[in-house]
Amino acid sequence: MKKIIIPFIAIFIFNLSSIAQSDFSSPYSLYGLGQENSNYFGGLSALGNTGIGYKSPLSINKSNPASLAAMASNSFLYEIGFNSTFSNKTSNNLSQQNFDFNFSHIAIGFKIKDYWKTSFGIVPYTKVNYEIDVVQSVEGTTGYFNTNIIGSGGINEVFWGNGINLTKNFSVGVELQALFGLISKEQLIVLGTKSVTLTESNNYFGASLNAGFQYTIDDLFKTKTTIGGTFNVPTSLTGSKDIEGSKSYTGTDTTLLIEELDESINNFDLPLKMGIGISSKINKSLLINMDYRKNYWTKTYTSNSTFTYKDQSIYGLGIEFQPSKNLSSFRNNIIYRAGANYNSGYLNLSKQDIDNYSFSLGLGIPLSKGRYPSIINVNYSYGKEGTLSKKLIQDNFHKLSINLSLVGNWFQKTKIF
Amino acid sequence: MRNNYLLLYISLALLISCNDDSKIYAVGEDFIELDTRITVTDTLSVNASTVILDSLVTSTSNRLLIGALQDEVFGNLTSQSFLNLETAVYNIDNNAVYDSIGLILHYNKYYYGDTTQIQTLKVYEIIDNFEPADDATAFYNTSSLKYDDTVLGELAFTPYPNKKDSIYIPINSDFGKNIFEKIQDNDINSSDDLYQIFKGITIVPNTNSNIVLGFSKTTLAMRMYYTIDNENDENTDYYKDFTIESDYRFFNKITSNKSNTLLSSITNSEDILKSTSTNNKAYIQSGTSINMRIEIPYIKNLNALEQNGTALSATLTFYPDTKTYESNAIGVDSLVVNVVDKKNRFIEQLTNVEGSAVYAKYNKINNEFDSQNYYTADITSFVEEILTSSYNLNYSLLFQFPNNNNTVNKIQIYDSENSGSKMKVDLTYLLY
Repeated sequence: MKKIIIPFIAIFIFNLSSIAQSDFSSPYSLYGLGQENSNYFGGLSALGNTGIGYKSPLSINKSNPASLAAMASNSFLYEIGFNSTFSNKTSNNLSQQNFDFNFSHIAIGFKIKDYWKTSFGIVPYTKVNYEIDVVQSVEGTTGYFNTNIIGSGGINEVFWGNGINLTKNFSVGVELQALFGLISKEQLIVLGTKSVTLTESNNYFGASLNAGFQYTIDDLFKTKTTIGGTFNVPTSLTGSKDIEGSKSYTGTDTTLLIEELDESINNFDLPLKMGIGISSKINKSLLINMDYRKNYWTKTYTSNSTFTYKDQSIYGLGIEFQPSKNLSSFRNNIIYRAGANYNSGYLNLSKQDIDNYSFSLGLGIPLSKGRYPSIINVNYSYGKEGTLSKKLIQDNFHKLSINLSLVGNWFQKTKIF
Repeated sequence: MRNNYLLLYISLALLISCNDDSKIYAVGEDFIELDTRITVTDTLSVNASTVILDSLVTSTSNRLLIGALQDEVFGNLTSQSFLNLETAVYNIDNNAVYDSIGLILHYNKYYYGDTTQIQTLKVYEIIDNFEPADDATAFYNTSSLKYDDTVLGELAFTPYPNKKDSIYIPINSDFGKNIFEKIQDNDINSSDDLYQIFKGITIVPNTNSNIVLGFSKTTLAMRMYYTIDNENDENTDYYKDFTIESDYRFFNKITSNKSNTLLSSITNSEDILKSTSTNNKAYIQSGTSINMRIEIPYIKNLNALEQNGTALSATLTFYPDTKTYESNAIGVDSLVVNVVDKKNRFIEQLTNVEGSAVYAKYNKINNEFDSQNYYTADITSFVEEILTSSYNLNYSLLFQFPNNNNTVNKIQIYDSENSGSKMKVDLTYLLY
């Protein structure tokens, strides 16, 4: 068991040193705090990003803190995620391909009491990653100049989740979230040999709280069905801004143009988020998840001329199929998953909603035959975001994520009596 | 097995971060909102004027400038040279017999004016001590020394500065004989001894002529010819040269009579004569130290714009009145740019952002539709200095010919009022 801990810690350290990596670049991440994270733990990415009603003894489900209560008592759980995205972005008559590989999350979960399970971890909350070249005319001449804009950074979330079994079938959970991160926009303006670099870095931090419940009905139309709900309190991030600018006439000399550090900026309000989900075990092999989430962005932000925020609705559907746990053949132990997700988005640009939908497929491959196996989850999704109308951008993406749900039986020895 | 998977992914995560920098990311261009703008404007006010500086040191000139110009615009000009002469060895054989003395002047290619007319040069002996005036430390174009009105030597000739090598002005023989004997008799044993009886000469042109000729300073010689009988009873020719040995005892006096010109109102170096008073042209003449001054008064106002901004480049363009310059004159293809304060005091020679000197460069456009010549100067660093200084510097630019003390070139520059040949600053400015 210790063998696995060393690389785990190594990854954790690596992750902290390079937090807030994006999972793919998108020009839409220009707005607000960037794009919301859409990587879910374990196999949930293949289940249409559902999970509010889902509970599993073998993996951490971050969708609902109440689900932690279902964690196997003797286990110590790890969650590590990687993903790579290939995307094809198209606007009116342009297209570009991006490829991106990232480390997406890391978390641990363990029990405190038999009825109280807890988790810690770090995930990207939002991501900003775009690179745009803008050609503008030099006013007063027939010439042009180029501006290269690179956005990077994002908000990270460090969370502490707790799930408590109140009764056999009813659990509640609460997750404390610390949000912090740096979002920067670097502009490189080039005219002939002359160039100006302007960097604007916004530093945000804040805290949030997510509460949830899960209630399981053992026999609802011959299914075992769990109903879950989550409630994320509205919060606001306080921020400060650093602006730095420099000028170069020849490429080698640089003179400082501007340096304003720790300027105050408006707080960034995060909305009330609510979600409800059902996870239904039809039989021993088949499970269906359905989620609906609503994020009330409208209340958080006054719109400006280019974009408005609107309330966001997310619908998810996922089906998980495992032939049988009891058969010894490897193939029968594999979990097959499929899902679909529609996300209305919260941005409205040029009176056009920036929504996205995706379809997903996935496999959960157990690494051992034990009762509590570690699982490699391979998730693939294909989706589309945005639109070509109104000069906007459509992004067709293929996303492959590999999430490791590792189980360590730390507490087993102490349980021997 | 698990560890292997894990390590594989860690290494992948570490390795893959490639990015192709040369790629153009145009998607997104349409809806990104940028506050940055670059504008090029040529509407900045540019005030041209003429100033006359009084401290042009002519001692360091590498040539004698002798002649006169008849000029209604810049004023009639006269240039004469003052020079002290010495020799290296004050010793002449006792058997030597004095023959004659004369002045050898080598053309050094520079001239300004009409070479077809006969020019008369006269040589006079200086009677003042060869020293700057009491309150001065050097000889300027306006300096002068008293000289005897007896003509020591004279030559009337047609100048051939490009064809011929030199001219020879015979000098009064008795003058030469006097020096010859004093050296021979050991009355003169050193330059100091010579200076006691001979302060130097001045070479004066006919003020009605219309040419200024340049003669080499280093090869100038007052040559004293003599013979020495040897044992074979054959006369052998010898000579002794008296040359200019020190910049401190040489200068060109270059003056012009501006009383009948538009420049007459300038009385001292602080006076600034606006181009609007001089037919919308500014004047530049080397030798007489007439300079064009350009003020760009409202640069600093750019800082008052609400948006942050910075200058990316600034180019000054101006057009010469081609009727006013001799196309064969040397050195009109560039102008030196100096920074001066509001009283025309020299601050620095303008250097560009890379640190090398800025010149206003002469550009010629010659095609079948258009024939226009103009100067351009990259004044980016000047604009930058004005914009970034925390003081209101009130600096201006002063334009003059290079080798300002070496020539009598002249040019007139159109100011910003002239529609076809408008002086202007093209300022490229970034707002961010």
